[in-house]
Amino acid sequence: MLPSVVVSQELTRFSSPPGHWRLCSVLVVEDHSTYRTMMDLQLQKLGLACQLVEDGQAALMALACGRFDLIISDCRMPRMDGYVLTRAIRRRERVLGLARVPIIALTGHLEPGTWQRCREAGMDTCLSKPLPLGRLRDELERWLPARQALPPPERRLATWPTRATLMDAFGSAQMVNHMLDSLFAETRKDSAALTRARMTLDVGLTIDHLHRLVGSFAFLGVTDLEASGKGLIDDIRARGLVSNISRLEAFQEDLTACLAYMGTL
Amino acid sequence: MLRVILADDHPLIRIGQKVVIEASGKYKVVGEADGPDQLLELLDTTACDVLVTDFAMPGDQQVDGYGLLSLLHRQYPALPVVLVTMFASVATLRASFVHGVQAIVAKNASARELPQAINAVIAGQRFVSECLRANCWRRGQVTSHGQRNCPARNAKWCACSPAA
Repeated sequence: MLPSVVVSQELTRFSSPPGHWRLCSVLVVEDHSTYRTMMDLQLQKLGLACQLVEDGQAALMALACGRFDLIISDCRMPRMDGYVLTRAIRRRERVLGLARVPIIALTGHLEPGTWQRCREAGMDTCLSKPLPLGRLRDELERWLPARQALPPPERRLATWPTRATLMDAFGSAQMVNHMLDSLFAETRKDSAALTRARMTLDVGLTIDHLHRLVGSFAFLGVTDLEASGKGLIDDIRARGLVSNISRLEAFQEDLTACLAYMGTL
Repeated sequence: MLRVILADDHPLIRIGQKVVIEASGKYKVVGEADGPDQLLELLDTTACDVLVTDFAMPGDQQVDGYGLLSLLHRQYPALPVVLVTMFASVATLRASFVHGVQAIVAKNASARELPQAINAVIAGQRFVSECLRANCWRRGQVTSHGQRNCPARNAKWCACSPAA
């Protein structure tokens, strides 16, 4: 059966995932492309952002660039396996004084001694593949930070929408949740694409993704981001991308701050 | 029940617009498109009474979006078009009305104003987003009344009554 079929059949058994999961991100380390795709689909269904990499070395690169709330790693992989990766992560956390990120080990063959190897390397639990969606969700509930453990949003403007204003405009809590899920999923995609477009100095793509991002926030009534985003689009059209790089970076930071706030609604 | 087709490249906006359009019980969204190509295919196969479309979607050959509006106007001259745009200005308004658009709604006001705009175009009137009306008034370019009092065909464009 295709992974997507499994996902949709199983999802009907569950209520919607906790809203604060929209703010969490998961790093998936898996060398097998089918399992990678399946994990991606499952995490998307649960409203979680994830980054997929194919071995331990790529995972360390990803950790150097971004923050993750949970790592799900295969044990056996080429170049750097899950055990070596975990030891490197724990060492890095000790040296840099970072918070300990939970690591879930996934293995195709749960042999005697596997769990002991995982624990000695510093992994938190060990599960066998493939992981059904219900079981994955249980494990995520166990290992992802609770809502109150997430840092509160740094910014909150009086003009930003509240749950009450959104309910007033769009009717039901279910609809508002559906819209927020869409906002988070699309903003993640557009932000990543915008960063790529910015780094490759692609003016056309930058404007396309900026337009799409600003449009969605404008639709929800986030007037300050709408004004700065429109000004930025106009200025990129007039003066090009290179002279607007730092302004674009600042805009993306504002966007992230607003998204962190929206995640608490 | 009047049939509406929605076009916007962002799913969040399509979800929200569908809710506010269908809230009155008078309109039904019969199709959604996420870009110009899908919109043209949809119009080809699905009958509708009103089109609500974003201005410039990726994939549009014309950077400014007028190419799509002009094509729509040529292919479906009788179909009322409500334009939703983040770049609502008097210049956009004028140019889009020349390209056959009947209503212009600012994206940040569309959750509130879309039902009014659709009511207006179904009644054969034009509609201008509230944020633009003040601008138009200041410039003395728009009458306060609908087509009855404004020779739209001569003036090319006008606004529907401000307190729609």
